[in-house]
This record gives sequence, structure tokens and C-alpha cells, in this order.
Amino acid sequence: MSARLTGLTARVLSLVALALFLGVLTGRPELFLVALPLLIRLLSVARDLKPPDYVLTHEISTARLFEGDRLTVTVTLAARSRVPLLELLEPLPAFVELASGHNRALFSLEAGERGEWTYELRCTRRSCFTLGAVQARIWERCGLRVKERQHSDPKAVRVYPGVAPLRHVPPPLRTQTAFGNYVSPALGSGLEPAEIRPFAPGDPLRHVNWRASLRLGKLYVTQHHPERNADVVLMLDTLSQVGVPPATSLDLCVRAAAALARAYLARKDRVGLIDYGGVFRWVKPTSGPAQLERLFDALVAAEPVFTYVRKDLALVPPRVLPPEALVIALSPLLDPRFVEAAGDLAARGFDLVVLSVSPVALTRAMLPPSPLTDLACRLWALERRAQLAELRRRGLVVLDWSPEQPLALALVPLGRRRRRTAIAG
Amino acid sequence: MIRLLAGLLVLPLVGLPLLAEASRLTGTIGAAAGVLCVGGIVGWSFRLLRAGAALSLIEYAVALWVSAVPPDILAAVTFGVVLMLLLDVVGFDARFRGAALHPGVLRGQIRYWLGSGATAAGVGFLVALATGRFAVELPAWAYPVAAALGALGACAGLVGLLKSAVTVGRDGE
Repeated sequence: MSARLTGLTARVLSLVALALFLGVLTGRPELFLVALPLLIRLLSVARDLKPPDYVLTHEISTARLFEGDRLTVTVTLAARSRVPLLELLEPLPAFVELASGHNRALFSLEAGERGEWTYELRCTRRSCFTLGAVQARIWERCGLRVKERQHSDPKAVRVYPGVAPLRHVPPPLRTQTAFGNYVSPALGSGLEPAEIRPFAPGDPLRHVNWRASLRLGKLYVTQHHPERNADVVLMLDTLSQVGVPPATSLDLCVRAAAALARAYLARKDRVGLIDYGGVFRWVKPTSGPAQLERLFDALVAAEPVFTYVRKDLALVPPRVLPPEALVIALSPLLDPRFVEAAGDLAARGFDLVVLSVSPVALTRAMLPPSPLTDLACRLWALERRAQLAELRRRGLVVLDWSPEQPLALALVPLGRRRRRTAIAG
Repeated sequence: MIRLLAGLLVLPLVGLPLLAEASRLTGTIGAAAGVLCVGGIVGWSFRLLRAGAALSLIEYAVALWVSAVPPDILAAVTFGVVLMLLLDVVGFDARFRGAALHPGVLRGQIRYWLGSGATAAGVGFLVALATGRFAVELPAWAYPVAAALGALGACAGLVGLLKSAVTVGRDGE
């Protein structure tokens, strides 16, 4: 623990010197008496400042939360000896703001007394940070000297991206072999009736269509479409981003990925993630609640890493990018390398949907309003429209998502179209 | 509440010198000192407050020099205690502005201010009495020399004491 003098000491000393100087100059004893209280105050610094004995407990209400959620921090101080003046400060991490209370507190406790300090934090952006490093300052009551120490009781907090509820998601064109919520175009055991065919030896008796059999005078059985799940791979573009945190294009894409992951996992699908950026990372498709947590953890860490290297999707093993998977690419389509990668996937026969968040509005929000900005944004919007039209002409399914628009609304048209295609297929 | 208390302390700081000598000069210096002190309190600027305090000291020195009244121990001790309390109060507020205060903090601090003010006043009166009793006769030219040497010695001694006690650093104001 280090002790130091504060700036107040020098100020008091300068006033003492001035009073004494004026006393000598005027030859009046009153000015020496004026300096006396300040001299006594300065002399008190010579006393030893004993560090108080206390126990500090730091608690947080939760270690995992979503963007916009509140986190309550409770600090309890139990004094074993007298605590004259103790200042506690917990620095706020980035993208965390005070919702209520103060992150700095001042205690004065008698021996055996307990004090509690509570404040609420609001996490505005996905992040991973540590709380519990409380800085303590033991002040002399006169404020001339202070001792400092740090209490470390680290608690990791993960802030997951905000998840918007999605009632409809793009249905996959192809299904897998495990049980799920999609009606497979294949024939098998299921609930959805498919077609009627003549009875063959070995057909279960419960599949016999008695009405058709009576009308046609011959045994017929009803075939069914099985309900199957699908593999969904979310491909996140972390090569570039525009906008101001917590509403950059990457933030929006991450929130969309989180919402899609939760919606697909709720439908018993296997969901994976490919972080396509300077650092290539992926999460293997699996189903279940634990997978949702794995995906959220990966999304929390998604940040753009600058690189000149063009990553080849052939590096991704097939177990991460299964051939029959529905790939949803989330990108502002600013980096040509990502556009090429998406085109490559479509050319390899993947069921690809590109959900492109518009960077125009995000950039416009960063710039001061002016006619030049308006003109530049209008030109950029035209260029982007032409880019999307070109991608659609090449056979890619592209959804243009405006940041002001809810994600569910951006997905609705595609859901209707693909549902018809899937059933027909 | 702290601002109000500091504002109340400015009144005697500026007004006591005017009791010794109410002239245009002391009035002008006093008004300037008052404006600086109030500006420091309202704008949370310790620099302004220090400038105001220094100006009020000059005002007091000018008032005493011009008036040539016999020494007023009560006024001098009161002026010193008020100056000390003003620096304390504003310094406390500047340090802990925006912090959550435990209920015992203000109570304890006010108790400390009252205690330290009373102690300083008591010591001031004792010193004044003692100096009157143990006065020594010196040639006329030796008084200012002795006073200057004493002042220099006090300042040097304080600096040495503070240096040896702790390492000097910046506070977080």
C-alpha cells in the first residue's frame, strides 16, 4: 500500500507561505496567527496513517446476460477496526454504463459496523469483461494524504448479443436424417400424407387407405413425408464493419446470427457458425441448448481483424460445412473477398441465403448531415442496389436488410417463397 | 449543502478585513476575492478558490497595514480557522463529488471540521497569549529579520517534514 500527498497539501503550503510573507512584509502579528491553523493542519500529516482493517465482499447478480440487460453489483464492507474515510471505485468496462447508483462510494465505519453499496450497470454491447477489481483509497479526513490499495476478486461477465424473437425463419431446401420440424420431400414414416400407391407385401396394415381401397376394389396404402431436421450454418462476415458501436454492421449481423441460431435450435436443427474474417473460426453444427451457448460465446468474440489474406472456404472441414446445409451468410457485402466466398458456396451447390445489412444508413448516421453526404449516400445506395441485382442474376438469394427494419420483417418474403419451393421439391 | 456551507464561509473571509479597515482599496480587493471564491465554489474550481483565498489574505494584510489598529487576536484566529475550513470543505466536495456517500460520512466529517476548527482556534489563542508573555526586547531592525527567518524556517521545515513523511504525488481531483 502506497501513501502519497495530495495536491491540496501544496495549495495549503502555498497559502501558509503567503500569509507568513505578508506578515513579515507588513510587520503585523495577526498574519502569523492566520497561518497557524493551516500550519497545524500540515503538521498532522506527520502522523502515521494506519490502514484500517476491513473485509470487502464483491458480488454480481449474474455472470451472463444479454445486451440491454442490467447487472446489479453489491459491495459489502465489514469493518474490523475503525474506518475513517474509505473511498471505493470500480472502473466501468467499455460498453457498460451506469443504470442507477454510483460506481464510486465513500464509507466511514466504526469497528464492527457493516456498510453496503449497490449499483446497477447496463451493458450496451456484446462483450466479455471482468468485474471485481475495486480500487480503495484511504483518506485522511483533512484530505492532505491518501493511501491506495486494490481489492481483486475477479468475476468474468459475458454479455451476449440481444436476441430478437423470430416466428418464421428461412426454411431449408434440404433436410437431414434426424427427426425435426420440416416436412421432408422424401417418403417415409411421418404425419404429412404424400401419395397413394398399391399395397405391397410388407406394408403395415395401418397405412392402408381404406376409402381408396373400397372405391378402387384393390388395397392401396398412403405414403407419408417424414419430419426431418436440417443443418444450418451461419456465415458471419468479420472482414469489415461500418457504423458506431453498439450499432455497427457487425453488431447487427451478430444479433441477427444470434436470433437465427436460437430460432433454428428451437426447431431441433443443427446449427453451426463460420466466422469469416482475418481469423478463421468456426463452431461445428450440433443441436441442443449447450450449442446455443457455444454459438453465443463465439459471437461475443466476433470482431473484425484486418488482413490482406483471402481465406478459402475449402479449408473448412465438411463436418463444419455439411454438403446439404442451409448456409445463411450475414454481411454488409463491403469486402469483395466475402462476396467471392458466397458466390463460391452457391457455385458448389450449397443452399445459400445472403442476408445483407445495408451499410448506407449506418454510415450516414456517422456523418454530419450535409447535401454532399446525402448525394454520396444516394450514389452508394444505387451502387449497392446494382450489386445486389448482379448477385441475384448470378443465382444467389439475397435479402436486403435495412437497419431500421426488424429482422423478422426482412426474412418474411423469403420464408413464403422457399416454403412453397421446399414442398414442391 | 456543502456549497451552501462553503458560501457561508466566504462571508467572514471577505468581511473580517473590512472590519479592520473599510476603504475603497480593501473593498475592491475584497470584492475580487469574494467573486473568485464564489466562482470557485459554483464552478467546482479549486484554482479559483485558491486565488480567492490568496486575495483575501492580501486584503487582510492591506487592511492591517493601512489601519495600524492594535492587534486583534480574535479576528486573526477566526480568519485563519475560516480559511482552513473553506479549503477543507471545498476540497472534500471536489474529491468526492459524484460518489455514493455512506450515511456516517458527512456526520463524521462535520464532527471533524468542528473539532479541528476548535482545536486550531484554541491553539491560536494559546500561542497569542504565550508570545505576549515570553516577548523579548530586540533592536528595532532585528524584528523583521527574526520574523523573516522564522517564516522561512517554518516553510522549509514543513517541506522537509512532508517530504520525509510521504512521497509527493498528484491526487485525483
